[in-house]
Amino acid sequence: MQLDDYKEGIKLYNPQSTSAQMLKNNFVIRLHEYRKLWRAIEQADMTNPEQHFIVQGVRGAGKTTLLSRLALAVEEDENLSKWLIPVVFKEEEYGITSLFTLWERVAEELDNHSNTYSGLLDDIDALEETDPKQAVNLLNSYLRKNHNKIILFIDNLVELFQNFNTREEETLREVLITNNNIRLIGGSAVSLEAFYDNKAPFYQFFNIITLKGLKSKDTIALLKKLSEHGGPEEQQKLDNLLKNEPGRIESIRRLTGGIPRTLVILFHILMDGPKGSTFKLLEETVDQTTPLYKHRMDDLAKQHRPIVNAIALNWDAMSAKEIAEKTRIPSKQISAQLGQLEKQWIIEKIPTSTKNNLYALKERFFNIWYLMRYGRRRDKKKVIWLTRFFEVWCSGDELKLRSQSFIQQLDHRAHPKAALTFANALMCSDLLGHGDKKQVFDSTAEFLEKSGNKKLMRELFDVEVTDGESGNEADGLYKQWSDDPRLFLVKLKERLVVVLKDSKEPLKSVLSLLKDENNNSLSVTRDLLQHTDTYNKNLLLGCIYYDLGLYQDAKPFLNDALNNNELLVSQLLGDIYYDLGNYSQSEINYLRAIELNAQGCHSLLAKTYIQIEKYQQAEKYARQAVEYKESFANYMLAASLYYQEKFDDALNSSLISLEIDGEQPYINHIMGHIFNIRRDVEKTEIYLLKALALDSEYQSANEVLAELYSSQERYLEAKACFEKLKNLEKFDDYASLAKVYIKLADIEATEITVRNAQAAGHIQIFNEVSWYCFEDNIYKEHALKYSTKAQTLKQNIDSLHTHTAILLWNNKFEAATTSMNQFLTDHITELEEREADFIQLFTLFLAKGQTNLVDTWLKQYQLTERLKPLYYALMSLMRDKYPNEILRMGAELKETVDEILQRIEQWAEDYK
Amino acid sequence: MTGQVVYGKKYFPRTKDENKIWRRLKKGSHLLVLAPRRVGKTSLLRNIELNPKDDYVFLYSIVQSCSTEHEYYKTIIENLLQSEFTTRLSKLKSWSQDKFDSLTSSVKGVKLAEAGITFENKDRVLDHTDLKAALQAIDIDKKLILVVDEFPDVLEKVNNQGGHKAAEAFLSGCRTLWQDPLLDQKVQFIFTGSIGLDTLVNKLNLSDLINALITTSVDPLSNAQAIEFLDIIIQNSEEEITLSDDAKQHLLNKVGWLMPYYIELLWISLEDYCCEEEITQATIEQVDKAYEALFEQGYRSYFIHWAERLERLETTERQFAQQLLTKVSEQGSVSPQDIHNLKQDSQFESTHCHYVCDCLEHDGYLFLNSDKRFQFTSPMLKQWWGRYATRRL
Repeated sequence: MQLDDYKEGIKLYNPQSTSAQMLKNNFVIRLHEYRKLWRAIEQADMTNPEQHFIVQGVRGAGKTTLLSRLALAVEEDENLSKWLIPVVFKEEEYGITSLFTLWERVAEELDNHSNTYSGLLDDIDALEETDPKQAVNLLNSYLRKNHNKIILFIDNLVELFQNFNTREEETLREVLITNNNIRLIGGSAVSLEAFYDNKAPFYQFFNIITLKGLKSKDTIALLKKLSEHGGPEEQQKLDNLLKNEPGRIESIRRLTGGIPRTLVILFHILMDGPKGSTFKLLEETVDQTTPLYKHRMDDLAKQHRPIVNAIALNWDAMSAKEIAEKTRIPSKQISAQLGQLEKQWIIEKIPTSTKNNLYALKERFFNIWYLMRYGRRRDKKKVIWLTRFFEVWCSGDELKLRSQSFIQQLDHRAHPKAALTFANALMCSDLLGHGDKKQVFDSTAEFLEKSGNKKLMRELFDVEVTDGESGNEADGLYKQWSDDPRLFLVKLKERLVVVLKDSKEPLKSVLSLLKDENNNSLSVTRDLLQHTDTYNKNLLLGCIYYDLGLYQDAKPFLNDALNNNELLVSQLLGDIYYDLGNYSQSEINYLRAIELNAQGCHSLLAKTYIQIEKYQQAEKYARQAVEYKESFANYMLAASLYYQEKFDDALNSSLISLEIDGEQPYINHIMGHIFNIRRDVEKTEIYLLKALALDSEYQSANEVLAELYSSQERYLEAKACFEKLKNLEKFDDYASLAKVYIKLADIEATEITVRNAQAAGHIQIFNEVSWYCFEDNIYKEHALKYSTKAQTLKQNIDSLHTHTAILLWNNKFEAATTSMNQFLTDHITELEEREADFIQLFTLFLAKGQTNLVDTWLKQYQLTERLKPLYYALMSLMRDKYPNEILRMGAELKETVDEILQRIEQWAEDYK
Repeated sequence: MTGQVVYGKKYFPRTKDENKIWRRLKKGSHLLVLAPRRVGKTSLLRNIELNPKDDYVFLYSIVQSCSTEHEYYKTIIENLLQSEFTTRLSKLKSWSQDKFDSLTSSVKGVKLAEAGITFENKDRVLDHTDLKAALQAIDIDKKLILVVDEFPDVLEKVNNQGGHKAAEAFLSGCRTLWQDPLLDQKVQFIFTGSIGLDTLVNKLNLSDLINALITTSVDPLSNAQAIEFLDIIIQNSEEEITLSDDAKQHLLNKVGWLMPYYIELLWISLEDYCCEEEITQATIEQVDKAYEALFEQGYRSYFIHWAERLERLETTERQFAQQLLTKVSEQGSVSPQDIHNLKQDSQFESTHCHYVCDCLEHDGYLFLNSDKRFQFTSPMLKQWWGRYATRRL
């Protein structure tokens, strides 16, 4: 059947069909429960009747695996296996229709176990009546004869009980209480309480073990274990994912309720490769769970489907009356159907303070599955929103914050190359929205232009493909040439550098720039070059012809310049292109040089590959360079290994490089970085200080060190680093400096820094410093002063956000409310990009007890669906006013809502 | 252990209760041990059974599934003839194969087989005279104590199926046995059950039939005993969790009604909480958290039987019980006037309200405090009732 097919698909976690070794290897979750049960089994000699257990948890929670693992442990235990026989019943034991047949099945299993039980089944079959008491007497007698006892592992125990009448249940209870030969450990997908609904007096004496959804830690343990089977590549993939996008896995975990079986599916999807957004990931998880749930839908009675449909699409729990309205089925009928659906464990009844109960789909991931499969666009949107909320909540939206602070710092004199690198990194990130990227691009471009680094613009990755304006520029150039050829030549060189960078056929395009009216480009260039000195002229022309493949034409010029040395030309072009930043061309030329047996090029090629982030290639050529004993070979090897995060090898090569190539700031800097990643504070400090001793203006080393000291709360040393940075020409990080002063509770120095920053035109400082005060919960009056100033100087979403928070902190409720109203009116359209900021402010209002305001806002701006967890946190706080609203919340939200409530509580205390 | 009968090392000795039972047995009394579910009466009795004083032999029978007099006697007689018991007898000097043979042939028309006893004639119906015959055939120099667990269940079923007359006849038969002067020298009965036999017979107007039984209760632990009990379960736990004295006392205060089952229930919740949060030194706050967790989904089943047991009552009796319990949970306690007022509600006109109050008291829901007001025996139960029971009913 479909369900089994579906399970077959996940051998890794399909318990009863996995081999014993596999089962043991993969058993990484539910360890606490396992130990508890194993202890109970191992320590019992069953002289007297023993404690019986029921393991309960939703489908896929790991019950079967746990039971199978225990059965295996019994089987493999030298002492226990001598007398205790584990009898395992498969997940779907359709054959057992009565207590009598249960004992028959036990007899069959024992028959399989040993031929000393071969007569038992016949004896039971020979009984005149199907009296379970007589059957168990026979079973007992055989067990006693063989000096055996049995432990029954029965999955879906409650489904089994469904087939028993009260008398059979009572009889079984008597057996379990009085019989010291039989012990029972069952599994159940429903809580017994729900099933029995107060009626049967049977189960109470079971010790109940509940398997809850996996928490973060166990989820990661499970995923890691699964990745071990895939080998190093999968492990690496998973590690990267966990490191770079933890919010993504966490978000899915919350949506799926941490059910191991679904997480296994998720794992396989993750390993298949990048999926784009988290929502895409969820979509695929849903697709792969389809056979399971589809089967469940098909099993629904016709009259039940519209009801399930209505509840599923509503997602939140709803009352019978609401269901009746949606389905247009009379209320009375609805109630009867709901009762049946509850018995089938499809839906769950949630009692309220009134007579009207609420109903929701019991298995929450089934609900999400339903919304994604059968929902309309609007319904799916709800899932997207929640996915995003979880992602934002779980990742703290660090990247966004980082991009924001990056943009703010660009307002002043940032290091242009560093800014470019950082901007490009942000542009490449999947996690940053288009809007954010656009902002980063625009700000960086503006900054580069203002700071006189316009040419670096070419290196900035664009969000959109922009059209070149080369035609017009060419016209301009041509005009310049006719006006003043000599000046033009200087310009041409500059121009060459720029143009070569992003053209696939660079020199051809140079020539195209120089077309005259008769389209006679070469002659124009020749004319041009007559004005320059012979060596350069020859070299340049030689290169141009060479690059065009006109080797014959190139020859005379290169002969003059380089004695027609093709190898040298390749090297030279490699160097030129490298300096120009056209790494693909420099790669081609270095490769050609190596082909021609050039010495000393491997190291340079490695350097090129490092630039284009082909670190494996870089490593390959760096290793060859080491073989040829080229200079800086180990330097390049260390760098290539460092970028591949092969830190052990990188450290080795760095040490060799220090020995051979001498002390290099870059190498010391790499080592410092590696030790920083490894959180070896002492060594990080040693190497970074060394790098700085060699190059006191090594900005990055100083910055990392300043950051390290800050994170170590060694603010005095951080301060020293910053002050050193400040003496560097390029210092612009007033914000971080101010942060250190705030940490040192040095309000005077903070104020001076703020003034300096302002004098240097860095007006964002007011916003930044006030936010640091808020984060550090210190100087709330100063914070208010700064945020007010920030507001007057330049009002934007950031300053408004900060100002609102700080007004609230200062208990200026009226002003905070006005500010928040403005924030919402002006910026509600930016909710998607700035969700974290919105959540933050609402949370802060709640921490200040402003439930009614938040309630009004969420409704006014139609955010209750959009920020669902926040809405339910609010409803939890407003129980008095809306006693039953919180009861509608699905279990998948609970953890997040609890965290929000915790934060509210924490902030209420922090920002009193 | 929570939920089930415990033996040997796991059994926490309740010396005072044990001595109380022995004192009464030595006087030759037949006992009625009344205690709500989950207070550990079966554990208590089975541990007495397994460690009997020199002059006694025990046989324990659980009769919950028996719904007729015939099934009741069949269960007990079968237990008498089965190897588990006869092996016990065979260890006695005064026992022999001849005596075993005469025991197995003592009940007419009945044969002993591996699957239990069988009847020569299908229509054979067993009654108290058959049990008497079997008991008389047990010729030993020790006194036999027959422990009959869940006895009121049988009486209730007989009453439901055969009516008042059948119940009366069944109970009279039982009484004949415990009043038989010949048997009296050899056999004593201990009847026990989780619904009060006394309240049931009261309701059936059959109290005179059981007035020869001496009622014995099982008491909660004293605070010192409870601390000792808690120390033992902490020690037996493999999780290395420690509790300060303050936290221990706090845990017991939370439990309120110091029955081992409830103490251990809260401990298990605390253990789970600490393991999940990786805490080794549990504080008062964590006890509070664990207490809250008891009312979450996973643990709720441990309490549900309190609601379920009211199902035995008739509809209006049940409604009265529910309203009364809800009132107590809301107000903390209720006075006799309040109860009186509740009784006057027209819907309870013909309800045995007094019987219901008796049941609730005997079954361990409520007790009369020194101010003569009813309150919940356990704060846990009160909490649970207030939160969930009322909604479910």
